[in-house]
Amino acid sequence: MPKEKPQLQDREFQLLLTTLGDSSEHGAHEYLNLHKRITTLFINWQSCAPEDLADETLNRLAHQLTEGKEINPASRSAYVHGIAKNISREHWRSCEDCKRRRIRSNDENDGDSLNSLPAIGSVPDKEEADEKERLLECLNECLEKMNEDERLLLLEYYSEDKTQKIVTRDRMATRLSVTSGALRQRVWKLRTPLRDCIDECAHG
Amino acid sequence: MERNDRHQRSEEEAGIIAYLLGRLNETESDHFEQRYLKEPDLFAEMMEIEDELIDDYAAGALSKEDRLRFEQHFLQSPERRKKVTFAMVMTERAVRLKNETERATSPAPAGKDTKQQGKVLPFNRLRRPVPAWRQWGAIAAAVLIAIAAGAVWLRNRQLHRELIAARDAEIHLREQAKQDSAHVEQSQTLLENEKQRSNVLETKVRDLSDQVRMLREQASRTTNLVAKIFMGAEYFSRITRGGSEGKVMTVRVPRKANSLSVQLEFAASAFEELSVAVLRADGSTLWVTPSNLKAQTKGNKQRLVLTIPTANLVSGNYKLLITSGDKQESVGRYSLKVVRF
Repeated sequence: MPKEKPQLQDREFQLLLTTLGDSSEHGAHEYLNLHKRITTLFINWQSCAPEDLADETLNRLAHQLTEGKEINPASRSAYVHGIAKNISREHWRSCEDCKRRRIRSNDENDGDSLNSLPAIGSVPDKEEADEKERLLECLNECLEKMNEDERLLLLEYYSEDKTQKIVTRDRMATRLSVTSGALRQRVWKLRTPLRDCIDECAHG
Repeated sequence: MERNDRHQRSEEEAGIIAYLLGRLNETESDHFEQRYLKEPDLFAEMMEIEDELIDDYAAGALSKEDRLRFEQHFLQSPERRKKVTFAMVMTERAVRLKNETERATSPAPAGKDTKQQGKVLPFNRLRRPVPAWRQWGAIAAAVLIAIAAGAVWLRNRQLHRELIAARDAEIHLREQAKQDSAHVEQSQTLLENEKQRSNVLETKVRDLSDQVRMLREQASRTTNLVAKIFMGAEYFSRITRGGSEGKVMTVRVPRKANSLSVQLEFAASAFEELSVAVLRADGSTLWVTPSNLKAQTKGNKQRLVLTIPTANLVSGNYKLLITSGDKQESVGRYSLKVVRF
């Protein structure tokens, strides 16, 4: 039976915000940024509920600050990392279901087997085909909303598969006189809202 | 071609890929994770490379070893699997479009007759006698050339005359320029004075545009922005003796949002009309629904939709308390952690 987690008191939360930033507003920004990074940490550790565990990490940090623990800002990230790691260990100990799921998924991925995602060019079943059709419709709809230059850039970026993809990327970077990192950043800035748009269109 | 072999990458990029694919040992991973918790730029770069890796996986551009590592270490989260689906759909769409464009712009398949059109003409055609119409054509061309040459000569003579006139005008203008230069000196002094005055005005304009920007920012804060959340049954807790608390939802409310639209779902109660109160951590009431809300019942669940004004909603812990319409009986509550940013 997992023990009840103590909830964060309001004054603890306020203390956390003022520790993270110069003002409550800045602290709230920092809180959200840190929460996002800790969530990614738990995703990379293949945890089951990364957002909840990130919440728990920040709650513990807030409890410790309230108890008078002084944390040097320079070593704060190492400290937060330590808390997150402890929580992750506890999580794996208590969450038998997650453990089983992880072992099963690792077993499934042994050898040369691809996971359940359909490969490009494979024949999908009816449900998958409908879902894909819906996504394609949403993609077209969302691409239409984009500025033409940006749409063409994205379509060119995705216009090759297999190894040609990397060649295309290099060619585009050369043509646009930017580094591959700058091209990646530009595409990332276009792709993220497009993905959100498709998500909202398909499931909203 | 494998991603890391031919594609030259910086050490940092290679490190990020190694981390994402689970190639680093525990000490190296710990060190890298502590860095991305601290460095926003490194975190942003990791997010970008993560997406690029997903694109490469979806396009089948990863080596066999990387593909396996990707599936084992990277693809476990539902969010990332969703990204892979997006990348696959996007690649398929773009590849299809490219093929369609290539087909549309390539020349039409040639038939027997049209094949002849592209061929080099045989040389023996040059030996045939020249037809009469070609001879008359040559004479007409010669006459036209002669007429054109005459026209050019006439035009040349006219231009020569114009050149002489222009030289006279130049002399006249030079004299005038001398007179004007005296005026220019006077004007320059005036201009200097004007420049000084213009600098002062520019500073004033800059100050004013700063003020306008600030006013616009203030105005944008007051636009009708609504933050939306959905709280499912897992966040709901009944108010019973010894009953367990539901999960706490962290709600991000932008500073400029002036209302929070909340959709609540919970195990159906005996009441159709309900009231919701927002309570602060100290138990005081921040806001109550101005009139009773009619719950939508679907199966064994009820749904409520309400809009909470955010003017007094600051970062902190809150509870949403649901009671019967007459406020005599409690139905349950939700816990929120609000972050205003």
